[in-house]
Amino acid sequence: MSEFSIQKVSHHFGDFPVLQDISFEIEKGEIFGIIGPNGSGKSTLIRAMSGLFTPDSGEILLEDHPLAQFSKKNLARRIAVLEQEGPAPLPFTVEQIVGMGRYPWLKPFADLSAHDHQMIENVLKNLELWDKRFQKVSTLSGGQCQLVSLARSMVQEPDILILDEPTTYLDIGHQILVMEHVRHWQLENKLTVIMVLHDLNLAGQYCHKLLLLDQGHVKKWGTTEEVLEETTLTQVYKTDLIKIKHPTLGVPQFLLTSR
Amino acid sequence: MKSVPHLKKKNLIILGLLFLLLLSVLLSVMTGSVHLPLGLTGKILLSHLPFLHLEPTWTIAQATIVWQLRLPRVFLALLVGAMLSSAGVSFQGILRNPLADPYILGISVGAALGAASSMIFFRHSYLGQFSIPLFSFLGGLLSLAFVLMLSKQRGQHDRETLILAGVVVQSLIGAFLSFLIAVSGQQMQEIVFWMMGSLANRSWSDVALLVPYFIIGILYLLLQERDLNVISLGERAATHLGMNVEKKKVGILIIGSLLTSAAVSVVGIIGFVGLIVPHLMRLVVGPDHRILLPVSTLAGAIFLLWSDTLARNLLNSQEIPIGVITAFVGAPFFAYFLKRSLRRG
Repeated sequence: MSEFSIQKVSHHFGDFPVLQDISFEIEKGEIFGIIGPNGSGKSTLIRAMSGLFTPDSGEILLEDHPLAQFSKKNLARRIAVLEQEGPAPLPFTVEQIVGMGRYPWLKPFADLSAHDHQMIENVLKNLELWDKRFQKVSTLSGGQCQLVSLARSMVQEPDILILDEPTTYLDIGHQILVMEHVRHWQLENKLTVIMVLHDLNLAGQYCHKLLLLDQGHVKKWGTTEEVLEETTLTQVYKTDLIKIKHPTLGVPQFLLTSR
Repeated sequence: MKSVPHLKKKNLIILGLLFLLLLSVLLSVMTGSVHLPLGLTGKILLSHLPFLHLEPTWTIAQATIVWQLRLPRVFLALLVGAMLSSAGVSFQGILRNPLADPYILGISVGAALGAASSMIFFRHSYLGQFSIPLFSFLGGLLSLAFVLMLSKQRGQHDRETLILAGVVVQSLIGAFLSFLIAVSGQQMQEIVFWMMGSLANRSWSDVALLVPYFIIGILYLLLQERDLNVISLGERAATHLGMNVEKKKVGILIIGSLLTSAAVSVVGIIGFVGLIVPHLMRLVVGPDHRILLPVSTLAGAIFLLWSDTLARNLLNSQEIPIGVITAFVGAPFFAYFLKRSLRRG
C-alpha cells in the first residue's frame, strides 16, 4: 500500500490549467522529490497534497483514504509542512515558536506537558538551537530561521514531511545542514519526505524517487537515476546541461553551460 | 526549565496591575467637584462589605456621591476600557495587523449607527433599553462584513488595504449616521452628545447591562490565547498545524465586535483605546497572547478610568467628552505606528 496516491488530479486557476491529469504514488519511508521549471505546478501540487485545497478533479489518497476526509487536526498529526521561508520575523522566542509544533497534539485549552517540554528540549539540542532558545526569532539569520521551522516540524511528530523549496534562501552551508537533518530524521523515524526542489544537484544527492513536472503535466516519474536524464531535462528547462557523475557519491549531477 | 520563565513574570505583572487598578479606583472616587478625603472615601467604600460594621462618620450626601454618582461611573469606565482593549488585541492578533482595531476598522461607528437607529425608531418599544445593544451589535457586524469584503484580496487581508477599507466604511456609515441624526428632530442633541463618547450620567443599571457581554466576551477571548499565538505564524502555517483558520477568524472577530458594540451602545464612540493599550503592553510583555491579553484587558480598564477622571475634572465648569481625550492621545500614536508600519512595507 502506498502512503500517498495521486490519481488523475487536475486543477484550474480561472481558465488556466495548472495541473493536468497528474497521477503517481509515494511509498512509505522514501524521499520523494518534485522538480520542474517555474510555473510547472509544483507548489500547487504540494499545496493540494498538504490539504490546503481540494483540486477540481481527481483524487488524492492518504493511506487509501481521500485527503478531504481527514479533519484539519488529524491531518496535522500526520503531515508537517515546511515552507520556503522560515517564520516571519516575529518577536517570539525560538522555544515558543518550536513549541507551537505541539499544537495538533494538545487537548483543548491544555498547556504543554512535561513530555512536550522534554521533546522540545531534545529537538532543540539535536538541531543545536538549545543555546538560542530564549532568543527572538526576529534576530536570527535566514538559515537559522529555517532550522527553527524544521525543529517545529519535528516536534509535530508527523509521518510525512512536506517541504516547499526549503533551501531557496539559504547559503550552501545551510542548504546541506538542513538537508542532512532531514535525511537523518527520515532514516531514524521511517519518515516519508516529499520535497519540491529547484536544485537538481541536491535532488540527485538526497532523493530516492523524482517527479518531473512540465506545464502542469507529469513529464517523468521514477527513480532519481531514471528521471535525471540529460535530454529530457535540457528540453524541459530549455537550458543546455552537462550530466556528470559525482566523483565520490556516484550520483548524477549537472553542470550549466553559458551561451 | 519546566515552567517558562516569562510566564512567571505574568503573575507578578497582573498582581501589580490589580494593585494599580484598586489605587486608581480610590483616587478617581475621591476627585471631583466635591473633593472627598482619602480616609473617608475608603471608609464609605468598605462600609458596604458584608462583615464590616463601620460607624458612619459621613453625611448621606457624601455616601450618595460615592455610591450613586462616582462608583457606577468608575465601574463603567473599567468595563468599557477592558472591553475595548481586549477587542483591540484580538483584532490585531487574528488579522495579524498591528493597526487593526475595532474603532479604526469602522466597527464602532457601525455600532453607533445601529444604536442610534434603535434610539430613534424603537424608543417606545417594550424592548426598550435592551434593544439598543442588540441593534448596536448588528450595526457593528455590518461594518465588519463590509470591511472584510472590501479588503480581501486573494484570500488575504493586506495591511494597508484593511485600514483603507476601514476609512471607506467609516465615511459611508458616518454619513448615514449624520443623516439619521439630522432628521431625528428633538433627540438630536441627546444622540450627538452620546455619540461623542461620554460616561456622564450613567447609573448602576448601565453597568449591569454591560456585565454579561463583558463576561462572555472576555472568557471567550481568554480561551483563544494559544490559537492567537499560533496564527501569528501565518494563516497557512496555522492551517498546517491543524487550525481551522476561517472558523477561528469569524469567531474571534464576531466576539471582538460584540465587546465593542456593547460598549458603544452604552457610552458612545470612544476611539483608539484598542490601539494604544495593546501596543504599550506589547512593548512591556512581548507578543505572547497568554500574557498580552489579560494584561491589556487590565491596563485598558485603568487607562479608560484615568481618561474619564481627566474628562470630568480637567475643566472646572463642564465635562470634556472622553472620546476627545482618548483621541488626543490616540491619534498621534496611530500616526506614529502607521508611519512605522509603512516603512517596513
